[in-house]
Amino acid sequence: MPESKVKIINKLGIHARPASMIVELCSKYDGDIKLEANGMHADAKSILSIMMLAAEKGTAVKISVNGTSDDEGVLNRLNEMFEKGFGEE
Amino acid sequence: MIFKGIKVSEGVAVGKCRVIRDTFSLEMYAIDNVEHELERFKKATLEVKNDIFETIDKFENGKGVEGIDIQVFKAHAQIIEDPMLYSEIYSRIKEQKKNADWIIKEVVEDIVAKFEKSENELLKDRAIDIKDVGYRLISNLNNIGLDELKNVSGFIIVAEELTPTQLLHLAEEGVAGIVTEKGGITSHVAIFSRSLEIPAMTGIKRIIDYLSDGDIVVIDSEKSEVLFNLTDKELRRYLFLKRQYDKIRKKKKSTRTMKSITRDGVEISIGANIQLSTEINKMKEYGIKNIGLFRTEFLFMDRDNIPDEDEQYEYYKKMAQTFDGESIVIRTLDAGGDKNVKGINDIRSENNPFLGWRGIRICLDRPEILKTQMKAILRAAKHTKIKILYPMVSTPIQMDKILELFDEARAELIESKVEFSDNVEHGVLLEVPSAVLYMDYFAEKVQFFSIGTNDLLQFLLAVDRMNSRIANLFSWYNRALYMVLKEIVEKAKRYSLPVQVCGELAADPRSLPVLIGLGITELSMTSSSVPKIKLLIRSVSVDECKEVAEKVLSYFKYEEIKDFLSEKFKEFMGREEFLNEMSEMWEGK
Repeated sequence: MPESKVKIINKLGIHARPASMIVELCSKYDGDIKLEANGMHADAKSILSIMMLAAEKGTAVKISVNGTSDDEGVLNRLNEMFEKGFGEE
Repeated sequence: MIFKGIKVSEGVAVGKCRVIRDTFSLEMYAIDNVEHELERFKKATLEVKNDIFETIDKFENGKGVEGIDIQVFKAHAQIIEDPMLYSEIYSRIKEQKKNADWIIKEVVEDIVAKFEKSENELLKDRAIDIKDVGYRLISNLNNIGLDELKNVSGFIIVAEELTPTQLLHLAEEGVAGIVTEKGGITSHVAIFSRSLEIPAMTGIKRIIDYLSDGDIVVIDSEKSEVLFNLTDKELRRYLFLKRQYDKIRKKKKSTRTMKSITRDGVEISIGANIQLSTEINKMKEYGIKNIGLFRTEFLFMDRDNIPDEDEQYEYYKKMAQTFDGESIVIRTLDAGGDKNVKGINDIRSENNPFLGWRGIRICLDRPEILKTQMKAILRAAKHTKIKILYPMVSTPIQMDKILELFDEARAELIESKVEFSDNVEHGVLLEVPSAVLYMDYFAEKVQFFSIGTNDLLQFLLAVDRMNSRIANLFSWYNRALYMVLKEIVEKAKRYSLPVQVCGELAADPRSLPVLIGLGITELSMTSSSVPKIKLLIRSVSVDECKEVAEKVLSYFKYEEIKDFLSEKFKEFMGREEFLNEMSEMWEGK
């Protein structure tokens, strides 16, 4: 199962806007996409569960993708989102 | 009465208030026909979702509302479908056989409680998004509209908190101010009110208990206060204050379309010093066409790794695209001095960091950092003209190395077949006195010069300006500095190269006539200083500035120069009627 570890670099962390960007991408795929941070798990297709991670700047996030039509591709695109700080400062 | 709060948007407002309360007095009741109740819930969800998509469509067709980020409503569309909300409500209706609106209220409250428990301020702020969706569902089920938000033009809205949906309605009403009990500086209310320039205060607990519709309320952001039950005399004072405030704001904005030219028609270009791409909005507000200094340190600070080429490229590109001006001066990483960048330098290990490992000295020792930045800049130059400015250059060898690295960076981009543009120029930041003396050498290598007055003066005088014991030795009104500036301008002229002043001196109103008199025609400063400097430029002529500069060079003491320039400044200020009116704008700032 493809996994990666990323760090949150945007100042405001994963608030509603980044969370909704994640959901926008992940909802296009069947299969399991999970985020793990602060000892909690979140379903990457549920905006509320992502927001509840309360993941702030500097938090390490583990992403795992399983059973989608393109696990590696989804993982890469998620990594990229995090690395670009969701287009925020 | 006076309440203290958090200022989230500046300004003074006086007006009648409209109190928005959570008006849902819902009752819980048992239902017999569960299927029917589930259908009602599904129908409400569908209708609210359609409403949200309608809003999103409107925005995407260019009919958005200023102050509202459409991504917020995209998030709402996801919240309404979220299993934690939707499935939970669905199954609770089924199990508990209670009315849908009651269950919605309970589920929303449960989720909100989890959010509000968080220590993360931002998450607390965002509980409002879930409430918003909940309110909309309940309103739909009960056929409640947003009537209380109608006809509030000129009113001050007082609420426990305001949802994005409510703000969307208020945007069309033209409200005078907003006061809420909840919400921090990143809340929707804050973002909304700032971009619409409506005075707003948050964090005032239980204020809605004290107010009724129609009470006269005052917001004074200067003191972070909300006041009511005022005497007529006090009210008059606040009305006066409000007029003053609005006048200055209007005046500042009115300079937006004015040209920055002297009375005798010489253009003095004014650029902005920025460090965040978000500052571009302020630039637009004041009609600033150039970024005269983009400090890239912010990109490197507060993080564990060094931003790679792609990340930097994306950032510069975004900047070039949001700002549709003429050119951007990008200063390469200027770590050191008082700036620590994790993974690069540590000023605590240096005895004398301002004279130590900083600016280009670091970048030439760690060439991969500079090369990465150069590559990102070359790629971003496809989108606008970029002038690369190198800080702390003090010897000719450094200049040669910089250009060698640049050629390498360029060759590597060609080799890896990455698109870029040669629409770039090189420039030296003149801040080390020796660099001024090497200008003849640099002139053959670069296309422009920029003067960093803060460091230049500090090095020229050998005075640490943060050291209060010797602060009296540091002064802008300084013959030594003027002589150096004169030298720089003359040399630059000899080689037909442009020279810009980008330090604090550029925004000092008393020094401005001297700069112009010495032949400086390009300035760069923080955006908020631009309106007043522009007005001052428009009230002087180059000839009289030359006289001022000449006279100033005949004085040797700080005090003499300062007194003379203060007097001249007063004279110029008194010239135009609008400048007089604007004297408040200058005070202390």
